[in-house]
Amino acid sequence: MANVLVTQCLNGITIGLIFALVALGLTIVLGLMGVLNFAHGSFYMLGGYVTYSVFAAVGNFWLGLVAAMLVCAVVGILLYLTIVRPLTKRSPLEALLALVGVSMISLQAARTIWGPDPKLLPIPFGRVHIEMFGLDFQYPVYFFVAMGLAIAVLAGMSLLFRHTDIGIRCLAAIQDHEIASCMGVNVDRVSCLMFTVGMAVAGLAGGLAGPVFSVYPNMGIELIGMMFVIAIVGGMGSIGGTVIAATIIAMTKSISSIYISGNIADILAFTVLLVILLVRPRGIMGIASVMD
Amino acid sequence: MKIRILPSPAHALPWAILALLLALPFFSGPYLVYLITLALTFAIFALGYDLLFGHTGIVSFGHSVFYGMPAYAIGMLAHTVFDIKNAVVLIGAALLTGIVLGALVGWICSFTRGIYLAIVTFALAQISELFIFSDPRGITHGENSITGIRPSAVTIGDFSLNLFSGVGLYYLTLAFLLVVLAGMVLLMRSQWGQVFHAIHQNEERLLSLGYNTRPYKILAFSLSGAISAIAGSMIAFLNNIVSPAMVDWQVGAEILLITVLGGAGTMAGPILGSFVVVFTQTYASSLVGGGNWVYVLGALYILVALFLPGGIMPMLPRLLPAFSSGLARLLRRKP
Repeated sequence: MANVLVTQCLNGITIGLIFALVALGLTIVLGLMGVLNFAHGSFYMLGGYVTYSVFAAVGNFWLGLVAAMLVCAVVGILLYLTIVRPLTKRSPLEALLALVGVSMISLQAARTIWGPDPKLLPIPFGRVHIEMFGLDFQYPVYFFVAMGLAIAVLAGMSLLFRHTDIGIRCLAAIQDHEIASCMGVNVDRVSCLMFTVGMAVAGLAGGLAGPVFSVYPNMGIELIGMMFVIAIVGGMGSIGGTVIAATIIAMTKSISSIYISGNIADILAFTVLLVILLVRPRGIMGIASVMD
Repeated sequence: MKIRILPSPAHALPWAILALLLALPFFSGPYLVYLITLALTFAIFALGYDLLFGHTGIVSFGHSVFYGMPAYAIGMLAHTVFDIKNAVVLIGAALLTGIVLGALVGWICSFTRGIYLAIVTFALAQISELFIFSDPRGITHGENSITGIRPSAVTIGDFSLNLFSGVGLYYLTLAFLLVVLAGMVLLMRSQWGQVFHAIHQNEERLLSLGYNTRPYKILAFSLSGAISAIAGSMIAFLNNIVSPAMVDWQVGAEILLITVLGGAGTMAGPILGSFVVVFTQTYASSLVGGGNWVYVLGALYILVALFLPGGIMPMLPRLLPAFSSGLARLLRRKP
């Protein structure tokens, strides 16, 4: 029993960190531009498919991850310049309308290009046999690598926000657009950069998730709703809060699924998030921001 | 001074459309009647959504609850728990479910606001859908959906109306839409409606004037839930099936998009939006084939967002004078 519990805990941490990577870009874009980026799930999906295609062509999974980040960054810049930037100055719901359009089109395009069936990516590395503290189980090494990579990216982003000029400008813009731009922050340029970075990270998350969940057209749409919840419950523009919220939801799901059926486990996870939001109305680490 | 025998086209247009809709079943096939019933149902749903969104300024991502759960109430009463086939009882039960759920969700949501409120409604929709999926004691049939919901015909004197097939349901839906529309117009002129608009414009100011806005917000949720429940029950009768997809949050997102597309905060906008979406889905799929209608609808969403600020409806008054003057010039021309 203890073996199962520890395995589910490790799964929960891995999946939670991947969720945190996806929600990271969402929360930054929401904080900076006030736009609920519905097309974010499409970038997660695009990342998965690019990783798969590169792996199928070259045979190197890690090269696939790099390619996924690059492709998502380029598509992200294009999307920002053509659709997101003209709409940020208007109602956020019109931006949502356009971004849902983008996500519908990309979903259908993925179905046409890669087909509706799930694409399986083999799990790199083998399994490690863990035998300590009276535990005895096997666990894929890849999950540890994915965890490490996700932690590295999240920590890097966190350092970027605290210790670099551009990160501090970004934080200032999240707290108050107008004051920040009066103080000489080029909010438009910061937004463009952060949108691109967010999309690249979403692409990375899609690639990392490939061997865990396999790659299929609906993978982004299925996830996007829960990502919105994580981004808001974590607190807008807060990396730490996002990681905490993502880990809470993934751990609740994976641990409770040992004891109860999957649907009830999901109900429990959403109820936990709902209660957090009602107790802390601006999210776990939230600050008063533009969306109030 | 010019004496005008005919009213201007802008005023005559709604009546002309109504006359067309009333006469429609006499000259069109069953498929078109089905499609328009579908569009009318979405129009009712969108009007209910717009009561909360366009008029009160509350964005909800979980309106599928008020659409799907009343339909499930009908399904349970008619099939899985009881065996009631009386249409009046079924619709009444659905309305009651909508009102109660609206008040409950509104009460929970009144503790938060803005984007946080939207996420709370979303989470509630997810919980409801998962509840349906988990099939407690076999009353929702889980993924299998509740099928075979067929209310018996309503008989008034020797006139009987079939509510699960074609024309009867079409007229019932049209009647409900007209009632809802008239109710909305009256509501927005009443004091309640004024407070709803005031909440939309500046809630802080209303609070500082001494208004307790919470009961009004709960009221708005409740009324919106009731109107959405009508749409849900019409769909249950139209398709004879209640599926978990009706409670899925994507339905709520779709109705939000329909309202934004048509023009939020107007009476005709949500109706126009639902007709546009239903007909784009149907005719684009027969034009471009397969699932490719998604491209057309997606492109429509993007283009409207980019080029028609405020949706389609606010742009029409600018287009209509040009259209009517063109029409007048055409009519004046001697053959």
